[in-house]
Amino acid sequence: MTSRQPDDERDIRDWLSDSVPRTLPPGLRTSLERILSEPPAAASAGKWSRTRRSVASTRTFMRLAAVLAVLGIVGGLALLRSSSPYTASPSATATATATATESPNPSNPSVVPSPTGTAQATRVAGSSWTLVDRALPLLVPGDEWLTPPCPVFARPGGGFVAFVSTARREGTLSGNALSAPAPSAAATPAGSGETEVFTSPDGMSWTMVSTLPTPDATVADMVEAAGAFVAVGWAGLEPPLGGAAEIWTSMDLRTWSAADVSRPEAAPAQHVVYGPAGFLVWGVGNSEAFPYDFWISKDGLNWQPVTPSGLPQGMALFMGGIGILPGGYTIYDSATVWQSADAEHWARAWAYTGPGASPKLEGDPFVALGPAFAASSGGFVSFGRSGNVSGGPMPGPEHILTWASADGIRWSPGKTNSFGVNLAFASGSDGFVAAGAQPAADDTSGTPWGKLAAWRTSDGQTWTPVADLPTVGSTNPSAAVEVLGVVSDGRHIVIVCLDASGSTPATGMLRSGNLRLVVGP
Amino acid sequence: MSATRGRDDRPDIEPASAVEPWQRQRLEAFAVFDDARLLKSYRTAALILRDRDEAQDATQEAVAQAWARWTSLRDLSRFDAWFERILVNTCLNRLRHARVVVTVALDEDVDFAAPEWHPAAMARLSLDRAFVRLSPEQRAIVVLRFWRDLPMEEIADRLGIATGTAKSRLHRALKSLRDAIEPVQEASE
Repeated sequence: MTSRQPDDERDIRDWLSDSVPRTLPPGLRTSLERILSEPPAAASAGKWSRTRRSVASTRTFMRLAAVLAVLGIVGGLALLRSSSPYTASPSATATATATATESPNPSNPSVVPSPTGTAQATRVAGSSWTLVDRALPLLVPGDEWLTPPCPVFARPGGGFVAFVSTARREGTLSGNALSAPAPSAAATPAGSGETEVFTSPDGMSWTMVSTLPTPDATVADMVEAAGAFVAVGWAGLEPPLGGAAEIWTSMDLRTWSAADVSRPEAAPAQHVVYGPAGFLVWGVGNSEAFPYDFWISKDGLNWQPVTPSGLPQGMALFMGGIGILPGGYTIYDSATVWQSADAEHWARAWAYTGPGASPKLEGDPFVALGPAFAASSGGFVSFGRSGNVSGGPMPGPEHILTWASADGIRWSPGKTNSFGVNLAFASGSDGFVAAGAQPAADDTSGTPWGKLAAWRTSDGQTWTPVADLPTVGSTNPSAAVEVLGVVSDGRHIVIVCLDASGSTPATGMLRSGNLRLVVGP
Repeated sequence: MSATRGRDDRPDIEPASAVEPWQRQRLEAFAVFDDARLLKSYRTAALILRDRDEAQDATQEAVAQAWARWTSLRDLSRFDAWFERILVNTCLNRLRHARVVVTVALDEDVDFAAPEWHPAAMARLSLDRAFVRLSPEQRAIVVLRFWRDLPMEEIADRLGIATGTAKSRLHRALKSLRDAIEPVQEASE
């Protein structure tokens, strides 16, 4: 058909011309006027009030980010308990120690602003949870509307590490979304552009120990293994608008080296695990030529790009997570499991074939694996999703589907639950915890912020609401939180929340950047 | 309003003492985002996303992003390229984060030999189906090349990739689309 090629291009032009919309949707001009009704710095907040469908898109991405973060931590917790090289030093550059106070009113912990820059912990009487406020500096994401990655990571030997970017701090502070005022500019110097590294033994008292050597860095994941801390992420804007891959390595959390892993079309590094071939860093590629971006290192210092074989090209869009099992690196993609011992040669280890395995048309049921955890009773559980294909790129209503597996490879779907939104999961000392923001009952806009809510389960199947959580956020859309993640070191559970204010002239920004930690047993 | 106005050709605004700086910028933005430019942007998004609701959302998001970064726009003569890059990235972002893509094999439910199918309709249907199978970048390149008629250098700029990369992706996208309409052409001959 070579001789037809000019006509083919004409056919394509005609087809595009025939299918292009003829008129401007009336709502677009209205939206423009609404967006321009606020100062430029506040404009990004307006995107949340557009339509339910578009918010769902962001929810999906946030959920995927949470899946990736939690699964990596689980992999580390389960298999990488060998090293704990860091010892806190009294010469830390800054310390924020929380002072706990009790409030008698369970419905309102009465967070009283403490002196600027001083962390504060509040425990409601009778509750086992503590609200930790301002223990970490402001975390202000770029001008993207996507929920930033959870900045707190659990250490396999106990304790936590946090990476908080102070870039773009200047000019983005807003009014306070909750009762306490945002830290003042004096407490959080504007625009230093550094990413500060903090450690904590319990999630409540935090010590700043170093800064990353890359300006404007965002850490998406971290693993502690083989005597090294390896953090991965990107510099600059969040993907996909920007963000070159970055890998930072430290032996003591004080001194960091940055690896040069930039290459054409490279993707922002989004996940790191430690397995039989060493550290594996993975990013979702930006093109069909680089559907994945894998880097591997034995020591965390010398990195080699890996071109994986055996993985389907489209998987990068739908990947549910990556972890480590005895068979090696293990990828959960929808309802399929892929494994590799060397991170280069991959093979399909298992594929679910029951109802929902192969959705093709709008309305078809689908099921998907989610973050996987080792169960205390043996075997594994995975908190995945089920629902029906929406037909377009946006998802429809979804449910939490708990999967069970004896070996982490072959899974059986179990109970379906419908609670909460934007859930993150962690494995606690006596079961599992799910946490998410709960919008007001009459809020049907699909907003990802609201009042903090959490649930517990011992078997992964039956969930019970956590009744004694402190009030973090409210049902007022201008005073709420987003849940960035929930992490556990086996002794403490830390729910990481970010103040999320609505778009008002007073608050301006969507997020105030104030990190609030809710720490429980 | 022309898309290529320079700094000295802005619309009249109130004296500086009467309005806040951002309100002046607002006037500027209102002038730039005229209906023609909005429609052009919406059409581009609709063609890339193949979903008009999604296109409306993507256009709104792009406008919000542009407004949020308005103070970083130094030269209004570069506005079109600047905004189109934001718009295309927004569309790609939506496509990349789409969790489930519905695809139906072309030969599963279409019988091109059936007499009721007009060749032109069959070709459009084939292109519809082939297009949604393209990667997000390929979709954008096809639209920018054959709808916006942009040269490859500008397409590469919009996507933040090398010109050679853009060309090779266009080549692969065209092959995919041609492969899709070949059976139609053969059936109609």
